[in-house]
Amino acid sequence: MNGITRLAWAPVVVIGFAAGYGAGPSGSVIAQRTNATVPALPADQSGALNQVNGVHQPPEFKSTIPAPLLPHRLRTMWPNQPNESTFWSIDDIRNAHRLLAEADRAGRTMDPNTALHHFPYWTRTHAMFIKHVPQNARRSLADQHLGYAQFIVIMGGTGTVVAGGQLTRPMTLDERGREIPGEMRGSAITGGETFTLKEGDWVSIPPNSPSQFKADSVDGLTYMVMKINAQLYPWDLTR
Amino acid sequence: MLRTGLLLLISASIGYVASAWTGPPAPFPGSLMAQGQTRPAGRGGPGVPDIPPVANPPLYPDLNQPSKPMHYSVDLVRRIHEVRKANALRGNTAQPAPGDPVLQGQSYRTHHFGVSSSGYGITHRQKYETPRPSPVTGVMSYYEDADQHEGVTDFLILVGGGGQFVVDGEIENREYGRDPWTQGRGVPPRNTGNVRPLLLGEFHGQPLKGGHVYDAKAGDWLIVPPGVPHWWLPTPREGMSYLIVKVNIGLYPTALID
Repeated sequence: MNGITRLAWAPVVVIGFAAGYGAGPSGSVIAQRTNATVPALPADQSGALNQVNGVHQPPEFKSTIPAPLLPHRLRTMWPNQPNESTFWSIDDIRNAHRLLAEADRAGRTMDPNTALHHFPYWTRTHAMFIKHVPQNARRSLADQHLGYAQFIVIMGGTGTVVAGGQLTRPMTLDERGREIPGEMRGSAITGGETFTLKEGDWVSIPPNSPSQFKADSVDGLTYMVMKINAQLYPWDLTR
Repeated sequence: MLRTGLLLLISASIGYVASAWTGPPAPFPGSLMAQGQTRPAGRGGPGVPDIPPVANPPLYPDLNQPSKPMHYSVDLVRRIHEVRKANALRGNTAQPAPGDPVLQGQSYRTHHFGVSSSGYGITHRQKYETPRPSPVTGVMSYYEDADQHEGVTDFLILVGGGGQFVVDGEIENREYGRDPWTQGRGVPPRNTGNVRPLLLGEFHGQPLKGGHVYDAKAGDWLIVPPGVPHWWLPTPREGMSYLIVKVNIGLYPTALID
């Protein structure tokens, strides 16, 4: 009888140990309890389509959904962008080329961006500039810009652009002892394609593609270049 | 009975001490516990892997962007305008026929141009002969609906025809845009009904009230910043053809740009 009683203590010891171990830091009950606190989503927020409070709803076949008016300038998708449109007539564009050509012939220096209203045009994502290449430009370097693409509209005059290929004798642009990373210059281009340009033509130049413009008319060649930032590139490095 | 209780208490105490000695178990892969485990902290903070910087990263990081310079002659775009005008006057809005002049646009991560849904690369608009439901919102009008894009700047170059640009102001009867391609390419985009997903950030409607009006002719430029409404009123029968360069504001999914 005494032996049977001692044998009965064995399960008591096992049960006691198991309960103590389970309540301790290593116990799976606590481990599960501390991590099983992810709240369940309400049925209509669970991502299921056409569910309202867990009940399937037929889709609404509305032909139109009115859009609410949002207060202007309070939206945040386009920080640092203009609030109004800008229009340039072809008459003003041609006049800008004429002014630059006259300045050329008179030997006057003129900033091309002063020839047309709203230039230079800066935004966070893109910027627009006017360039003028005189026919007798003594030193016309080839450019290569690693940080932006270019979309170019010829405003007046005639000439050529060599684009693509490789810069001849490439070097990083140096401005008064400061190197401008990503702005490469060369004396010419080898292996590029030559395009003839006249008023109204467009040219698209991808980032890192060299280009070199030359004028072949007495009025020179005037063009507008839209520089579209590759979006990792600081604007103060663009030339 | 007292002895049994005492033995149970002592056994439980030994079990608790043993549990504390062995520490928490390793999380089972994929379990809630494993998900809650904190990873070693990198320089970016807990859970952020410490990826070493790449030396001289490219400034134009996408490999699948165009790399070929392109030239587009004004003569080509004028021919496209004439073809599209003639087609429109015959009531033909189909894709380009063999031999028709087309402009091969380019799509970059940051911008695209010449990728109009017509297939010609140049957008053409006409004034209707009589009022009809506008293609997007169904407003009875001579004109198609005005647009408003939260995510892109539109730079327009008018290449043929003329009329008026109406910009700024507010769109009346404004509605969300819808994905024109839900039904698949080749299906007329604007009349496939109401099962197309909304394009949040794209709006259409008319009329456009309180805006500026510009008389437009071939060669003119217009730049429309993001979020600014714009509308086209083409010259009857002559119509209006233009190229759009769309510049992404940089936060906006390209798939939403219409």
